[in-house]
Amino acid sequence: MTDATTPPNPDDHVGAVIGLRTVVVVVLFLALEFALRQSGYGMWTVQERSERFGWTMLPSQAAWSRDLTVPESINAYGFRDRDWNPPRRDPSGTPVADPSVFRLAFVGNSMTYGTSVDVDEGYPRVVEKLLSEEFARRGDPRRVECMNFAVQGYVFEQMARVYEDVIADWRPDLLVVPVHPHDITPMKPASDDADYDFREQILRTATHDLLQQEVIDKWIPPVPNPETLAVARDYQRIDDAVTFAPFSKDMNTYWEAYLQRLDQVAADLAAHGGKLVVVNLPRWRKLFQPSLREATSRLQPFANSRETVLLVDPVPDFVAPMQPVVAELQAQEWFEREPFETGAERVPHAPGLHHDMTQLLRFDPEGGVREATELQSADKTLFLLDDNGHYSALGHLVLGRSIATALRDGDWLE
Amino acid sequence: MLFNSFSYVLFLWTVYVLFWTWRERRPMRHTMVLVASYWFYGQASWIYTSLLAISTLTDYWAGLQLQAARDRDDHGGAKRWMGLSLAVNLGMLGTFKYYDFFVEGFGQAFAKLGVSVDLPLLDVLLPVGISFYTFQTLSYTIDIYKGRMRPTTSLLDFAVFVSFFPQLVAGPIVRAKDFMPQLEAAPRLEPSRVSSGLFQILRGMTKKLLLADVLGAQLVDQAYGDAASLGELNAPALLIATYAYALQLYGDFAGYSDIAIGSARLLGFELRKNFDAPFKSKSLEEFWSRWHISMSSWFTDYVYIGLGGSRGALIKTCFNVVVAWTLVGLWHGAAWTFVLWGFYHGMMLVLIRLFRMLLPGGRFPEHPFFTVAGVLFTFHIVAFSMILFRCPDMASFGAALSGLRDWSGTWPSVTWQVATIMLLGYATHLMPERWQDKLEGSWIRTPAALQGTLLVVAILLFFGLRPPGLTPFVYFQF
Repeated sequence: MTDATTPPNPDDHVGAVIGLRTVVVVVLFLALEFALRQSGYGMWTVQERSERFGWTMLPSQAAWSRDLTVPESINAYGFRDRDWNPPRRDPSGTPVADPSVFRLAFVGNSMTYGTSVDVDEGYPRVVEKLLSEEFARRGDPRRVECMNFAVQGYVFEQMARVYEDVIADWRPDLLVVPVHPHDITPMKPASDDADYDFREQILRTATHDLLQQEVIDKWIPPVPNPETLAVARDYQRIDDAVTFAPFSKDMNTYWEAYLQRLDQVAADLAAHGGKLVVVNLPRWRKLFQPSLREATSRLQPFANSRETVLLVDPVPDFVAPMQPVVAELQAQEWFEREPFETGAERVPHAPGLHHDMTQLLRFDPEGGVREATELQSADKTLFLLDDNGHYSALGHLVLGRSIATALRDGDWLE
Repeated sequence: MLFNSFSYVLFLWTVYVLFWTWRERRPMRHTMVLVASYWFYGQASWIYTSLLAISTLTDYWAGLQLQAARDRDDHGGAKRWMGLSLAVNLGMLGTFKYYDFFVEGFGQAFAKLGVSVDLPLLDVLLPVGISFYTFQTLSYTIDIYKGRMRPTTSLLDFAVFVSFFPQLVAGPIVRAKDFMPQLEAAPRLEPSRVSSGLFQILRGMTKKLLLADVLGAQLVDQAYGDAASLGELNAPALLIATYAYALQLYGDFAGYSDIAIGSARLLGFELRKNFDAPFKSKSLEEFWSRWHISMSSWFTDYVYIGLGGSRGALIKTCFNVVVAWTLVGLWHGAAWTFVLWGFYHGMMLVLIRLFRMLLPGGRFPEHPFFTVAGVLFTFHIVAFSMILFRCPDMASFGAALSGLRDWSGTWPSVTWQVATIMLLGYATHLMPERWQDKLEGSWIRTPAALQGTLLVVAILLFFGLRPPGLTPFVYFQF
């Protein structure tokens, strides 16, 4: 049936309906998107909100690190590693270990994720390479596989959930849990924190990144929601406490909860024939405050009382190689004023450096570089000096060696 | 699905293309609009689409039966069918919107008498838009009952009228006698109307995303959080928050209406204007002829006049005004704050009417002073009522009243972004209507390619400057 009174219409074709406007809008957006991608927008690794984990990485994405220096390939399971074979199962569907593989699973956050470091330079890969050589030397036919389940920003509660929900099915021989005091803090829910690039409702575009970076983050004040502000203040209070006094009395409750959760994971792991390796992560701050207490004081009694738990402490391996860098930074009086004080309450922040880490930069309060100085010992640093404490490729190498050596010397490779 | 989401842009574009592609195939076109509308509504709740269908079927059938009864002068029959329509629509509204409110009220009243009454609560989510579409279908059967129109014989057309997605969830409340003839007429694709529709949508998005959402997130929501946060405000802080809220509520609802009108216009339909620069009003009566026009005119036509209007003695007229406006308050929500809000407006309208009787000629002299004073006075009468409208409960309203008496302390600091938006918001609101008409005219005359470019700029602005996440429209809760 048609409308009997329909008059002849000059615009009687679909093209007229869709219109020039639509074409212009689509073409302009595509052009904008293309141009912005050439400038680096829209290329960061994307995360999704998650009820269970707070946030997870969008699976199967090829992206770049936030500073656009390192490509990041996220596998189908949502982790920054090569693609993995699915867990083995017996005919009844129960997960079983693969006897031809000696499997290490690494949980963690940015320190293990390898922020600003190529994935092949991260310490899990270093451990894999060194242990493979060790197995070959021993004539052990098993293949060594190190799986990296680290996600940036995670605390231990999130790592434990990753173990329970994802890792356990692979029946790892060893679960490596790196420890930084910050890991004992309670898990934060997913928020609109600008640090996390959550996927937008339909698609996340370079245009979105441009708006987020250049407009929203710069010009729009954060929404002062009293409820989330109160929660954020609470988290901040715990973060500050754990940063400046991680072993104070106030932190006892958090350490106890942490060790209890770690014990649950260790017990589950042991029930399936696996062992737990706890690694005390070296911290930038320790270089300038040698008397700083370490997490080993809490972890050693825990490890000593359990046969299936090994504690690895690579801190001494970091202190000596970093001396030339520390000495040069101190000689140039980088710590003479805030925020580079040593021994005071503030953490000695990394000085401003170009990403190639060969130049020290002094900044004007109004912004811009006032002075640049060559850093002679730049190639020796184990930390990324421009981001306040993640490891450089060399740092990952040293850390990986420490772990591999401890495993070998402690007969933990059987 | 929210109008301010990217999904809606894609949805509307798809409906637009299909609608005009099938413009000469009426059943297909209308079926598509019906399916799209139910899909649109189903995004909020698929279960509640059944209520929409019940309302549609009941009033379609009741309309036909009403007309049949009228044709054979069966007044009793007509009344019975009208009663059925009222019972079903108001029954649904009463059950889903007011049942818990009244049951709790009865429980509390009996508890004061020492009797414990434990009636079960429904505790269900309010079906989105139920206050709007039930009133819309009621106007259809009432108009047939009163002989103002004849029923449609097409169930499809009637179903499209009830569920038409642009105005389904928050109005404007469309009258069947305005809309049904548009469904029957052949649509004609006119470039100027498409441009005008786009202009309305852009205007609505600006009001919602850049005015309402920013003011809500940056200022109003934290000030009006609860009784505790209201208790911390002194009078200057509360005044600024309330001025911001007045603008937020206007931007939110007028923005929604603009998008609804623009979306409908893209499909060749004209909906009634729902807002007409209400803060320019020189009196409260004028305000209600400029704010939520489709609702206030509905209550005027079907409740106030139904009660007798101004035909009786002065006291009866005043009574009718207060009753009608108290019902307007209750229509907005099942809470005492809304009831009191409606009663306040009714009482103010009565008081102003009585005061006017004391004036020579029943009005103030035409003078700029009285014009400005009238605008300011009316705005503050309305703004005060908005405190009540925004407060989540009576305890919060009590805290706000205490705050209004406290002129001690410092003036609140407002970010430059919020101050700029408030200034621009009120300035554009108060600017002469002809300027807005000129702007729309210029837009319509702009070549399509340039319009496309401006659309891209607008979309970037909207999604760049709005607060994070999607903020639902305030009137969805009604």
